[in-house]
Amino acid sequence: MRMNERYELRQHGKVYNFFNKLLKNPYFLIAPAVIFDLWLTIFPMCFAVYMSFFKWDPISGRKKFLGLGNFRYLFQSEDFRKVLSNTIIFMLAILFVGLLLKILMGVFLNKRTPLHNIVQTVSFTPHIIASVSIAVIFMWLMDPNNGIFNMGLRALGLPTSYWYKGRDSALFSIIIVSIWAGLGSGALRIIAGLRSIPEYIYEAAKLDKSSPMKTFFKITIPLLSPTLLYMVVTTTASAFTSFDTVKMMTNGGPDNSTNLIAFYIYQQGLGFNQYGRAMAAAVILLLISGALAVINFTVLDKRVHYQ
Amino acid sequence: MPIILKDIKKIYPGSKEPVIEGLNLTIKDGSFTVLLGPSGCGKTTTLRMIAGLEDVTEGTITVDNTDITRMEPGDRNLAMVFQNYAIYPHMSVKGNIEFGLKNYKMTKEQIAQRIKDVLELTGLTEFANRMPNQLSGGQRQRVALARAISKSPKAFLMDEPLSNLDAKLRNQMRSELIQMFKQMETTFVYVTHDQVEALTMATDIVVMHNGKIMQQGSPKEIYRNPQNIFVAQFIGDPGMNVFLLDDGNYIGFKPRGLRSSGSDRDFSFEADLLTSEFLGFDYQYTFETGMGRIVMRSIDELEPDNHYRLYVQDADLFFFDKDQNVCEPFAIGGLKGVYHADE
Repeated sequence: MRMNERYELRQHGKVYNFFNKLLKNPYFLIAPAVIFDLWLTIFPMCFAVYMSFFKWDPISGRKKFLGLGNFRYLFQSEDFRKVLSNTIIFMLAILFVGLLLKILMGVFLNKRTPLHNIVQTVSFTPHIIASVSIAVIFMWLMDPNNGIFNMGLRALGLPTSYWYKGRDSALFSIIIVSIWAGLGSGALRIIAGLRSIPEYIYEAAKLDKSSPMKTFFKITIPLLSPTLLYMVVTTTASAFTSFDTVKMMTNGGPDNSTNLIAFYIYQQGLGFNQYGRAMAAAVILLLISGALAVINFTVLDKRVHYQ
Repeated sequence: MPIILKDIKKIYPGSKEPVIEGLNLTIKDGSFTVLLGPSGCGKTTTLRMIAGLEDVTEGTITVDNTDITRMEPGDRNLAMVFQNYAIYPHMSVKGNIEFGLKNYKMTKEQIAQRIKDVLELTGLTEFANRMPNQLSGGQRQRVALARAISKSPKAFLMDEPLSNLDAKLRNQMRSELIQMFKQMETTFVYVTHDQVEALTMATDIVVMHNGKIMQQGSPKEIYRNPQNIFVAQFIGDPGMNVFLLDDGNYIGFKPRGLRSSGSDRDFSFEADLLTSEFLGFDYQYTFETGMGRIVMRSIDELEPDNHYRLYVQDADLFFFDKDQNVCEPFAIGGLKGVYHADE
C-alpha cells in the first residue's frame, strides 16, 4: 500500500514529469547520434568543401580566397590526371579481377570437409593482419634482387621484373597485393552468400535438366546478387580510399606511377603543406565516389534479387 | 508405366545403419500412391531415390521397364513438387515454367503454347508475370504444380506438398489435386504423414515404418483390415486400442467399437472415465483400465468421473499373434496391459 502511494506521488512529481517527457521526445533520443555525426562527418566534410576554395597555410593561419583556383590547378596538372587514371585502373582491376577471383575461390571452397575448413581459415588470415605487415611481407617477396618472386621466375627461366620498384610494374604490384589481401575475406563472404541459397532450389534445377553451367549462371549468380552488390559497393569505396599499401611500398612512385587519389591528398596536404589543394582533391574524390554509389544502388539494384 | 523398386537399400554417407533395407515396392501405373508414415520412416528418402536426388546404395528402380537407378534426375522424365515449393525466387511465374522447358528439345512456339496451357489449367494466367514474392502460399504451390505439369512427366512425385498451407487452403488444394489426378491419368507418388490426406486422395496407400513397408493397399483395406498392430494404431482417428495378453498375443478394437453396454458373451473389462471431449458429432472418452489408458469414440453421453464396464462385440475384435501380425481368432486369456506400438 505504502509502495503504491509513493509510486503515485512520484508519478505526478515535477522531476518525474520532466524526464518522462524528455524520454518520449524523439529528437532527444536521436540527439547523441546526430551530434556525433555532425561533429565527425558533416562538419569535416563542410569544412573540406569550404577550404577547397582557399589557399590555406594552417601553421601561420593565413588563408587566401582563390575561388575555383584549386580545382583549376588540379585539372590542369599532369600529375593529378595521372593520379586519377591510376586510381581508375586500380579500382577496375580490383573490382573485376578481384571479384572474379573471390567468386572462383568461394565456389571452390564451398564444401564442408575438414580440408576445406582449414583452407578457409588460412585464407581469411590476411584480413586480420595489419595492411602494413602485408605490405612489408610483399616488399620482401617482390624484392627485385633477392625476392622469392624473381627467384621463382629465374628458376623457371622467365624474365624477371622490378615489381614495385619499376615504373611499368609498380601499379601492377600494388594491385596484386590489394587483391591478395582482400581475397580470403571476400571468398568467405561469397561462401556465406552461397550457403544462403537453399539446397532444394538446386534440386529443382536438377529435375529441370539444367546443366551445371546453366545452374551457375541462371540460378547461383542471380541469387548471389545481393552479396555481389554489397561487395561491388565496398570494393569501389575501398579502392578510392586505398592508402597504406601505397604509402608503405612505393610512396606513390616511381614517377607517380602508383600515386592514388587518397595518397595524393595526403601528399599535397601533409607533404607539401597545400591544404587547399588537398581539400579540393578530397572534394573531387567525394563527388566521384558519391556518384559511383548512386550508380551502384540505382542501376545495379534493379538487377539484384532480394529474397 | 509402373515404378518398381527392387531390394532397395539406402545408407546415408557417414552412417553405418541403413535407413532402408530390403524395400520392394510396385507403384501401379496410373495410381495415386501415397507413402504414409511417421517422420523418419524413410518415405521421403524413398521418393527422393525415385527422383534421383538420393543415391541408391543397393537395388534397382525401374520405370516402364527402364532401369533408372543411376540416371541423372533430369533424364528420368519425372516431375517433383517440393514441400517448400522450390520455385526460383528470381524468376516470374512464367520464367519458372520456361526454365525447365528450355532444356527439352522444344521450339519457342511449343514452349509458349505449353506455358499458356498449364497456366490456364492451374488458374495462374493473370499472374504469369508476377514474381514469387508477390504470390500467396497457395499460388506458389500452384506455380510448383504448373512447373511439374508442363513437362508432361511419366509420374509426379510430391513431397508433402500441402504441409505448408493453412487448414482451409489445404482442404481446397486436396480436392484440386484429386481433380488434377483424374484429368492427367498419370501416376502420382505422394509422400505425407497425414492420414487424412492419404485416405482422401490415394488409390493406393503404402504405410511405412523404420524403412520397411508395413502394408500396401487401398484406403479402405488399410482402414478396415490393418495387417499388423503398427498400421492399426497409426491409421484411425484415433488409432486402435490394443491389449497385450498373458500368452504374448494381442487383441485390439477400434475406439468406435467400444460400447458402454453389452451382453455377457462380449469381451468386456472395467475402467474409470478420465476425460471426455465433445467433438460435435460425437464424444471422445479416455478411460483408465488399471493397465493403461484406452480411448473410446461414441455418440452416447457418459457421466463424468464414473466407473464403467466396457464391451466389445466379437465382430469388432482384431486378433494379432506374437509377431504383431493379424491372425485367426483365439480364446482370450488374461490381460497383461495396454500396448502402444510407437512407444
